[in-house]
Amino acid sequence: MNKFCPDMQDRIVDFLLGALEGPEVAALEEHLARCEGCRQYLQDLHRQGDALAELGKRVAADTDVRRDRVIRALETVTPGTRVVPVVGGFMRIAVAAALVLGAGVLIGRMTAPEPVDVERLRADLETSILASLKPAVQESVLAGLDERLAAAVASNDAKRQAEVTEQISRELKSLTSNSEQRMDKRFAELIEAIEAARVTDRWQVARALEQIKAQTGAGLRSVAALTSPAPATVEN
Amino acid sequence: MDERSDKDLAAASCEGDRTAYAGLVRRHYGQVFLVCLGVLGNGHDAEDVAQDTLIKGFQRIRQLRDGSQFGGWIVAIARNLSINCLRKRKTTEKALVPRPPERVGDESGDEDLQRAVARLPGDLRLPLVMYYFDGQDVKTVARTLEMSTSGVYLKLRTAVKELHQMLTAQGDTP
Ligand SMILES: [Zn+2]
Repeated sequence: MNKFCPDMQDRIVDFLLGALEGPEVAALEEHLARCEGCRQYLQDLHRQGDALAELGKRVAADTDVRRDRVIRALETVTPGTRVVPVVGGFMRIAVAAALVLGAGVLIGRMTAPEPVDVERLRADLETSILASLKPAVQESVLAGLDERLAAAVASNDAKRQAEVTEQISRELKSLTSNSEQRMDKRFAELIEAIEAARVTDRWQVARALEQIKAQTGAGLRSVAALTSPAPATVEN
Repeated sequence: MDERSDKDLAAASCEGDRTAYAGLVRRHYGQVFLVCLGVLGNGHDAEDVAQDTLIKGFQRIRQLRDGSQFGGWIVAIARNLSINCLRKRKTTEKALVPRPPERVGDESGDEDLQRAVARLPGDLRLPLVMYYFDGQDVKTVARTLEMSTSGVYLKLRTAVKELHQMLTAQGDTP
């Protein structure tokens, strides 16, 4: 088989997927007209696509049977009565961000401490967040936030720390306001509660998060890493 | 097919109306199964997880505040359960003798292609399966997977290239 030109490969695939713009299409077509290897590659990919569509049809052929099996299985199931909010994409990120925000309690004012309801936090978080937090979200969003918070901690500069917290807080607000449709009221309240508690009493939040972590395991590693390890030193 | 909207069906399901929920299952089963298949890469597991998803959906239907969002909600559950299943499978496989190579579809047809699709990483396979198996356009795939269209194009491009490479390495194409 004639090998395709490596520098044309992505363009050929994009062409196949319909992702090329007019002038790019013309340029590629011109190349294809005089390059046997690339022509062959495109033809292979077309065949591969047809084969995938065929396979898809065969897989889908049993859909009705499988679906009816599910409907029969439902006969034995009743809807639960426990109301636990399930978070969608944006809210999941927002709640995760709120957690990191709460964990990165760097500059909380230490007035009027208000106890955090650990049990309620734990219940909400365990069922809704740990169960549904996508690895991708943990990696990209949490890592990004973690990095910035870690940098702020390392800088030991109160002004920089305040900036970072303010920035994350802004992002959090825009995340929640952009996703009103999916927004779950209880989670909004939860975020507010964490945020409020963070401001009024950083030690309580740090301890609450420690407890949550202890009870839920490794899922909140990034939180644990940022939670104050020695609450006694910040207690007023 | 039940003519009522997802919102109405979800509301009735909250009251324990199985017929209403069956209407939602009829409407969304295809997409749920496809997502499970895309993540898991094997039809048997996908069928189990799809069933599990829809049963959990009924049990948890009262958690869904906006019934019109049922489609996205159930797909999110399907993805999470599939990813969990994949993790469990990997852990079990490490401890046990490796299983024979997986296949995406039935026992007939293009075995090499089925194995190659099964061997793709799940994050590449999912958009590929939605795009080719079901003929969904890139915008629809992006919306369902909560990704940007450019992100979907990127995954598809990589998937198409890897698949071709696997198939030619197997000597499928002379
Ligand atoms: Zn060429």
